[in-house]
Amino acid sequence: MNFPKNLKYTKTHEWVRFEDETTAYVGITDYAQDQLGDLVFVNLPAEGDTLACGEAFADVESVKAVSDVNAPVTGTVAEVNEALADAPEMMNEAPYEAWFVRVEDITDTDDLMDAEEYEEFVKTEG
Amino acid sequence: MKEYDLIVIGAGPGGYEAAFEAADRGLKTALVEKNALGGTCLNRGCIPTKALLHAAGLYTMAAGASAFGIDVGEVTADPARMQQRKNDVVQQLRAGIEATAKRKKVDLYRGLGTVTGEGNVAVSGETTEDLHAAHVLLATGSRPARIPLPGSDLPGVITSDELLEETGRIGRLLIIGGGVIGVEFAGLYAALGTEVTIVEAMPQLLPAMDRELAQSLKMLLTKRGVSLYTGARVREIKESENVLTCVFDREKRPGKEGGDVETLTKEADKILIAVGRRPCTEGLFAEGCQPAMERGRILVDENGQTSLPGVYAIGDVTGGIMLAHMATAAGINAVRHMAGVAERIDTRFVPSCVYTEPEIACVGLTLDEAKAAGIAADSRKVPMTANGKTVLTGAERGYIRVVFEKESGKLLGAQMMCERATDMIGEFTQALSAGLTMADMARVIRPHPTFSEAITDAVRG
Repeated sequence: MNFPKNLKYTKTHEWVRFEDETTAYVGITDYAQDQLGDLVFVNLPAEGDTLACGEAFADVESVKAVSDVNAPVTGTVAEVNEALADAPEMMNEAPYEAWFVRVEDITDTDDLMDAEEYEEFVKTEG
Repeated sequence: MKEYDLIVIGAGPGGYEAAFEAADRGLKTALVEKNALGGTCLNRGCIPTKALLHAAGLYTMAAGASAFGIDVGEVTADPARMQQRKNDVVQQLRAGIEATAKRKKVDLYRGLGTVTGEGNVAVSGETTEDLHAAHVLLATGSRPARIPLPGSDLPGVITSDELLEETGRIGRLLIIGGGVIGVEFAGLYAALGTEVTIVEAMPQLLPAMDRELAQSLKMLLTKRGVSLYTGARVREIKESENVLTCVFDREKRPGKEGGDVETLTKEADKILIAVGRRPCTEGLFAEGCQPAMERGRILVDENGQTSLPGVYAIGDVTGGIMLAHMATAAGINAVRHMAGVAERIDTRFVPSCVYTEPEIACVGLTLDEAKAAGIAADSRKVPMTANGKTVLTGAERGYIRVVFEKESGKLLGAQMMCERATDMIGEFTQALSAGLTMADMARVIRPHPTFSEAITDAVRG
């Protein structure tokens, strides 16, 4: 299981990579993809949509179930990873490269964990 | 001069159903048609495409039968016999309409119907007759739109009318337009082994539908080898030695401003133009007898009344939602208005269906639409992978998404892509019309094992 140091994490297993204080990329963690199994579809928001901390902004579909993906930050979707929509298996193969959206104008963030805290969280939860 | 209570011009699903409704309500009714009974739907639309798609589905099923322990040997498709079977189906249904008209004592007139004055219709063609009635209903439908495009008149550049008559194999088919008609033909020909390309101007396939459905369909078609170009505008079609070449500009990031555009070319043996349909009003009005129109369509009020007293219009000729079932509903409602009957068919919720494999169907609002309308809405999605019937039939990935009011749980809409979606959407349409909540919908037993059990999963949460 991989927990890159440069990322922040949520309790609902999303990762955030801040470019600066108000811009970030968001995806789901290695642990999340491992738990979900083979992912076959991702339903992404549209450019310009607003994200609200803790609220679902996307969903992923594995062969088993549909799972919501929650927004770790409040902001506006500046870019959507269209390539991910066409190749959802990227979430399994390289979860930390498989970003969902780039968020701008971030005004609020969830209680985010650093890599160590998240690794510990996953251990105790698992 | 023959006297009637109602003259219906156009015997498609809007016109003939309206004529039957009128006859059932005791109106003496005439039905005028210049071509075959059944209109576009039966002769050049819904029925023939679905007949061919059904055959293509059988082909796919037979080719994949060994996975179910059934060996059928080599499977081949014969386009000429598929055509014949389709024609038989059309013939049978056409005969059914004729028989029903006879039984209900609706008089058929074969010829072009022209409104020549208040309540006056002149029929010219196979029959020539002057008719008069208190009410006239215009149901003349639509035809495929042709775009003013260099090369669009080349041989081999066709509309759905011609493609539905195709009896040969097509090596490479390029489809201009990724709407319902375009994607259905793409599915049909891809199943038969044709190399299919879709060129769509909007950023997504099925531009009028939910993004998630469009994305799901995109993945399916791509998997089946269909080449898709969205955000792509056709410049011209060229021909050389019986090979057509389509030249189009594609935005590298469809729908985004300031993106790069690249010019691409794609060769094809046939090019289908499926960019929508236009109302048919040629020869429908004598000088000075034309009601108010706008960009080719006849303007009507909520009861189907045109600006001319006693003249109603319904269906594709009025623009709007060009679907057979919408025309039927509007036709019946117009007749009820003429007859002074209060009961109406609820046209607030019009289901849309796409006969892809698996099928797509939707009704009511999408989550995006609900939010845009300022409604506090939520949605729930169930994948069909957990549905027993889906697994045992070996069906493709599918899902049902329901959209509802957050507070009350009142159903707002449903989008589905799964086996029998086009049949199951009726239940959601009924629920919307009745104003049911998720809890209401979850209160009934749906049989096991069926695809419809997934509706229970979706509404129960």
